[in-house]
Amino acid sequence: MANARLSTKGLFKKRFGNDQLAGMLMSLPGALMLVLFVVIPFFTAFVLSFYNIHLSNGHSFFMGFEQYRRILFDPNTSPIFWQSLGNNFVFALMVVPVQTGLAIALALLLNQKRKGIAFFRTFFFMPVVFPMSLVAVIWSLFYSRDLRGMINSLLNGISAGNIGPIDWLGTPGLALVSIAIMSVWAGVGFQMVIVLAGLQEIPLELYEAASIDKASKWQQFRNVTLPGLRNTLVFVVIITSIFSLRLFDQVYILTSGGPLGSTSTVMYQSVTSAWTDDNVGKGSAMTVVFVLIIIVLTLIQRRVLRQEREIK
Amino acid sequence: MKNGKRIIALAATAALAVAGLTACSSNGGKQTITVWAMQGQTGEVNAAKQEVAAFNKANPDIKATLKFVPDMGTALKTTKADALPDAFEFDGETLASLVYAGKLAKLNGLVADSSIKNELASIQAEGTYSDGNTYSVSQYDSGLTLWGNKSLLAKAGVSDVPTTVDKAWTADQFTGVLSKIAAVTPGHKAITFKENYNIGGGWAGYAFSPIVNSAGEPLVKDGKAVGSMDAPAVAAAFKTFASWKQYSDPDADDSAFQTKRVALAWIGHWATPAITSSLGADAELIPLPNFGNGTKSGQGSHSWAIGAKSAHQQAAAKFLEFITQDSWINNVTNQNGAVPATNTALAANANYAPGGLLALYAAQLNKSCGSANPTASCVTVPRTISPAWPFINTTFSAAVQSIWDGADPQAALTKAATAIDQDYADNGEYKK
Repeated sequence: MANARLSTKGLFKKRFGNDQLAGMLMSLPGALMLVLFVVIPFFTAFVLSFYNIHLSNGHSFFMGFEQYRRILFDPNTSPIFWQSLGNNFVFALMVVPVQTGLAIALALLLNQKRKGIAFFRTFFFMPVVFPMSLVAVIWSLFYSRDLRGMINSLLNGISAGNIGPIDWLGTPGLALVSIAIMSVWAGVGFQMVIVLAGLQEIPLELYEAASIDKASKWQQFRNVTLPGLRNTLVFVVIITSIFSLRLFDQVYILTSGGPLGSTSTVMYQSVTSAWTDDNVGKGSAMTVVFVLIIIVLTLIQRRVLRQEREIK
Repeated sequence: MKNGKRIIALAATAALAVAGLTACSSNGGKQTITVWAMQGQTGEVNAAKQEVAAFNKANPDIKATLKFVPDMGTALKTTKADALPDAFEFDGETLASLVYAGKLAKLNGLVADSSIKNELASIQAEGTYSDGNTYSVSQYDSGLTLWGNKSLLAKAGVSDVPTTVDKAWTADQFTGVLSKIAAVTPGHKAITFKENYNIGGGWAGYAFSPIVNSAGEPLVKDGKAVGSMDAPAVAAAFKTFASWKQYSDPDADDSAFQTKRVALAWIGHWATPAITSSLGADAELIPLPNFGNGTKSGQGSHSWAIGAKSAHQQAAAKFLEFITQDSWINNVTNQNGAVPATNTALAANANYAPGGLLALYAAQLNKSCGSANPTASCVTVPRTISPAWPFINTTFSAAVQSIWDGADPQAALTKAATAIDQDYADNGEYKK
């Protein structure tokens, strides 16, 4: 009897493995969400992208690959898509290093055991709590192009009038930088908290050992802190890249993609195509293209920045 | 202006759609109709509540239930025709899209002819679709002009300020006026074009399409934008317009004119209460500058319609007749500063009589160009009455924004016009 029971159990174990069954069960809710919110919408977008379809009037026309041709190749309509995609990358190139670096710096500052440190941690995290739309509206006042704008009036004041009013959001070369500065300010608290958690995971013994070896503070940072933060930083870089690729709110509120398309992003083009221009097919086609680009990017990034998972 | 409310509106739409279906039922011989009104300014919300209460009192056999919708545009776009309420308020510029979607009932024979015919010619034109039928009525129309600050203009040495449509400044004269004003204001700005309303977000479709018309063209002529929106005269006009940016206060605080930083404001009627309360007798209406084909202006505001699938269209028609009576029109326009939309209400209002503070609004709307191509003698032009309008609006507005930001006017307008023509072609020219 006992043997028989053992053998059926053994058979099951042989085929699936106890761990695998439990694993599958536990991944079910997550997988379901992924299917519901990523896979199904993606295939819906794929189907919609073959139509000229309007939410507002219910009429639709089959267009085949025409939306893709217009987005990618048409001389009148494709430049803005390529410009937007380029802006996405420029923005990511500005924001990812700056925001990650700043997050490490802030986390190191706030990782001290001092009185009232919780207050400072809360303080630096606060911008993350505010909705981006709110932050953007307030910053639109800071960035106003006349001397009533806070930044212009500040610069004008400290330079005794030598730095004239700058059109922060209306100058093609400057607008995306302005948005990047605001985004870093608004978002850095989130990465900071993650790095802070990472810092606290590094065993104190390592620092003790390092200081016995007469390692300077900088050497400790280079050889203990940074390696200890490796997995955290990989996560932070990936998540910051994702945030910067889906850049939308700030652009929608501050510049509407202007001036001259210099702050337009793929998400901005996609959302305004679908909602403002009522062209759901075009918006869908853009998201399909964008998802494919992001998948390729993620694969590259995963290869380059492989997390160390094994416990040595 | 309508940003940020979309998600709420989407959520609200789902709830409202269900409510609209269930509320639309008769109980004990008493008809229940559902009414959706825009969650607009306080004055408009109050007026809607008062109207519905009075209507229910005056019509014991009908019970109207009122719901306020925060983003009506999205709600109407995303609600199916059979889930729409019996009567609803909407942005008049979307009429053609709603008719094309089969969501509006023809009002001819439903709403009394006397009610429809008493509406301003501009409103009647705005409510008429290309099939010749009337689909909407309105309580008020809009006014778009310049507001001038008399004492600041005098200080700048600007004399002969025009206050009637036939005397409008030419664009070149206007450039001179702006530079004179900028010389005497502390921030060296002369005017607010209400850039804070977001030129590229649709403000240009209302506020700056009169520039196209004043240069002698409609936005779209016979279903084609290439050749009209991007005509050389239009591009030249926008070149002048862009040259005025140096005199423009960005107006981030929405009060450049009221706080006397500038002497002119290119703005709609909704600012009237704020402007008259801060400037008093110093404020005057001035026609928009003339780019060659006479001054032109915008028209059209909120409208009211009946759901195409409503089971209580007669009762809903009664409601529309009720709220377009002069007394109720005056009730709402006294609160929101808009132009009364009936001939009788406008004639009885001293503000709009010759010599009155707002006389220019009435004079402009009385010379509506209707849906025909603008001539030199007419003034107000409705936004293109076509299901393509939402696309025309965003595309044209984006072009104006890019011109404002320094793009070549001719190239920007041709690009926009080409995209609009492609949209017409994509949609089978919007023929049913």
